[in-house]
Amino acid sequence: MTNEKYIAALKKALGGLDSASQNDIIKEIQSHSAETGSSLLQRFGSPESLAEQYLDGEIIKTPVIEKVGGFGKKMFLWVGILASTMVLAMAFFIWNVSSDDFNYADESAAELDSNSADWVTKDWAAGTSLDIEQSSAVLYWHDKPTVRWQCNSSELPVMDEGKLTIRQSRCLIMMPKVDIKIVTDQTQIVLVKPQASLDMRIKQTSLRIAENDTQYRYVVNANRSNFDGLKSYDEAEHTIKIESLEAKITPYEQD
Amino acid sequence: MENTTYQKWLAQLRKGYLELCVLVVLERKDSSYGFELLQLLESAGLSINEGTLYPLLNRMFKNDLLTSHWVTPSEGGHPRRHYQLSDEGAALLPQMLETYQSNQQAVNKLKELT
Repeated sequence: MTNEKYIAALKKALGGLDSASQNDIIKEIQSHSAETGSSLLQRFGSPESLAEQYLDGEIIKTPVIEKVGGFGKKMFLWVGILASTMVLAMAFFIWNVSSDDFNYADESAAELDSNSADWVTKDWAAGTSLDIEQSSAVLYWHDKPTVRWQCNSSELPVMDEGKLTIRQSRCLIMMPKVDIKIVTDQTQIVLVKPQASLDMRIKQTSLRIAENDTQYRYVVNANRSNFDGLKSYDEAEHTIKIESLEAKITPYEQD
Repeated sequence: MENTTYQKWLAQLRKGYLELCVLVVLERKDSSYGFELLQLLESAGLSINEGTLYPLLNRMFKNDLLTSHWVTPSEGGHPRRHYQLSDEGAALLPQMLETYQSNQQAVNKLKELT
């Protein structure tokens, strides 16, 4: 394989990266190849496996098909945006139809039933994360070093290997006041006055935050998402970092 | 031990270990580029291929552990991408070294168990 063909194949395999990063990568490996006097294939292995190494851990753009049946990139982008908007609109319609009139933002609300037998209590180990999918959850914070939950579930929540996993459930959860990573997918979640810093990765999620007169520092990377109505304060005690995809992040308002 | 099992273990171990080594080299040298780093690591006994080193440097750059700029050699030829420790990388290095050394001590202690 000639160096030119190698570069072409590598460019294709790096398709999700921004062009500046691609250019730096190609310029750098060409420089190395010229200095060593060897072919790129000899020095770096196959372009596909090299691209895999570069893309490991990257959040990349979805490659867009160049031309299919006469439709160009823009057409696919618009179709994608339209489809995403429809999915979001449908999710919010379902959310509105299925919502109840209980005020989850009332911090004492979770305490009403938290002593009943169907609450589960577990010790919270440092570094544990929360992984929620296809669920609806309201998170409160309490003074104890434990996590407590009450769920109506088709699958029971599982806590092991440093992760609390919740699937297809409707839960009230009492969190300890420790920093935590939260991952959600196709989920509706309400945070009631978070009392720790949060690192959130949310996808196709409705995230509502009841600040209850508390200020937060928001660091948001919103991809095809709507972040609206929440104000960030640099001097706030807690940081809420959010990486979102096709999500809506808004203040909590009682339904 | 199965060779593939060893290779997997080695790959896991190297991920963090090589980052530490690159930071150590750049602390000593202030600035260096891929080929030179490769030679320095090899001369220290760390055999590493280009397909691992360059993506690693790129990832460290994106994670703000390194900064970089392009330098055209005075003797001519292709420009080289020179890397330096960022402030964040310089601040993290002592912590990483301490962790590495305490882990090494822990293994030594475990080896002395009777």
